[in-house]
Amino acid sequence: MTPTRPRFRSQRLIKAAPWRVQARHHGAVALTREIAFPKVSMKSLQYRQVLGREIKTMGHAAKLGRNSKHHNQSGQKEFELLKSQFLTNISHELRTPLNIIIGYVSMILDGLMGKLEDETRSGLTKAMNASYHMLTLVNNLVDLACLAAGVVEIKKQAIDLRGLLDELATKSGALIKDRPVVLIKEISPLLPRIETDKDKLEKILGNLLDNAVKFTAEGQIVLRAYPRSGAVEVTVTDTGIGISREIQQVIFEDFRQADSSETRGYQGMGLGLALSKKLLGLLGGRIEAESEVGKGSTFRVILPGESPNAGKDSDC
Amino acid sequence: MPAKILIVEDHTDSREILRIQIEYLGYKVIEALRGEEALEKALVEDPDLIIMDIMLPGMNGIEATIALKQNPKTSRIPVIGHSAWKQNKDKAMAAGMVEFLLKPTPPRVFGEVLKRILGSSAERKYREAGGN
Repeated sequence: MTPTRPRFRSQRLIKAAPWRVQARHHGAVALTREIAFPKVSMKSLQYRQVLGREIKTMGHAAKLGRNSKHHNQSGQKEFELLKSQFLTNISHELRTPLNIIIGYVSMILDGLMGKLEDETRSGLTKAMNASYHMLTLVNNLVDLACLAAGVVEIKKQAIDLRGLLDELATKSGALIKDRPVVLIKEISPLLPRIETDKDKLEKILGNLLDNAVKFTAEGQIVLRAYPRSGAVEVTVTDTGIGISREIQQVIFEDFRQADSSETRGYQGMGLGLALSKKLLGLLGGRIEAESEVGKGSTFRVILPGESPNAGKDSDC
Repeated sequence: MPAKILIVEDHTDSREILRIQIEYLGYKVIEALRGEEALEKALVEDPDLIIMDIMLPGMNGIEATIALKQNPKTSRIPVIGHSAWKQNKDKAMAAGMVEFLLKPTPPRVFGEVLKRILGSSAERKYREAGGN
C-alpha cells in the first residue's frame, strides 16, 4: 500500500473532542486529541492507520455510549454526535475512491477511452450501478447518523414540485429503458405551492423511485402528485415483487433494525426508507406503504402545504 | 481557439478524470494542485473558467475563490465548485462561485454546464471589449 496523505479535516475532530461526561471517560478524550493534530503527527501515517485509530476511538465511544445510556442523557447525545463525526470522516474516505471508480468507469462507458465491445459495456454498466448503489448507501449512512445526532439543517423555500418530479421521472426513466417497464407520470395541474426543503424532498422521492426501479422487472411505475386538503400527496406505485406483511412492519426502521434476520435479503431497502421516514418527519410530512407480494407496492408521501419549523444549524 | 479551463484538484486520479473529460469536450486544460497555485495560474494564464475542488490542502477552494474574486485581475473568471459534499454548496455560492457540481459529475453534465457558463461569459467579454 502506498502511503497516502491523510485527507482529514482536523477541525471536525476537534469539535468531537470535548468528551467530558464523567471522570472515568477521559480515555477517549486523549485518543481524540492525538487524532486532532494531523499536521504534526499524521503526515507520514498510512491511510489504514488513520482509519484504525478512528475505529479505536469509536470503540471507546461505543463503550461510553453504552455506559452513559441509562444514566446520562447528555452522554448519549455526545455519543450520537461523535458517532456522526466518525461516520462523516469514514464516509469521506470511502467516497474518494468510489468517485474515482465511478469517474473512470463512466468515461469508459461514454467512449472517452476507446471503443467498447457490447459485452464489456454490459459488465461495466453493472459495475457502475453497483458503485452508485454503494455511494447511496454511504451517503444514507451518514445522513442517518446526522439525524440521530439531531444535527440536520432544514432549509425551506418555495419549490417547483412539478419540475422536481419531472427531473426525477427522467432520471428513473433512463434506468428502465432496457426493461419492459413503463414509467407513467400523473401530475395534477392543481398542485398548491409548497414550501419545503428541496434537497431533502428530492432525496425522499428519489429513494422511492430507486426502489421501484430496483424491484420492478416488468409492468409499470406510476408517479402521481395531487392536492389533498391543503396538503400534497405524491405516490409511487410499481408492479414489482411487493413486500410481505411482516417486512412491511419494519421497512421504515433504521439501520439498527435493518440488519436483523427478518429484513436480511432486503438490505437494499433498509437505509433509504428509514431515512425517508425520518426526513419526512422533519419536513412535517409522513409516509405510508401498501403492498402485496407478487403484485407490487405503493408508497405514499404526504407533504404539508406549509411546513412547520424544524432543524438546527450544523455541518450535517 | 478553444476556451482555456483551469482545473484545481489535489487528488491525482480525480484531476486526471477531470482533464480527460474536459479535453474530450474540446477545451484546453491547465492544472493546479493547491489553492495558492490556483491564484498564481489564474493571474499568469488568464483562464476562461476555473473548476475548483473545495477540500484542498492549505488554502481551500472557498478561500481561493474569495481571493480570486477580491483581485480585480481575476475577479471576472467564473469559478465552478466541485466537491463530493453537497454541504459545501452554500459556502461555495457565498464565496462567489457561479455553479456547484457534486462529484461524481457525469461528463454530459460538465458539457452542458461549461457550455452555458462559457457562452455567457464569452458574450460579456465581447461586450466589455466594445462589441454589442
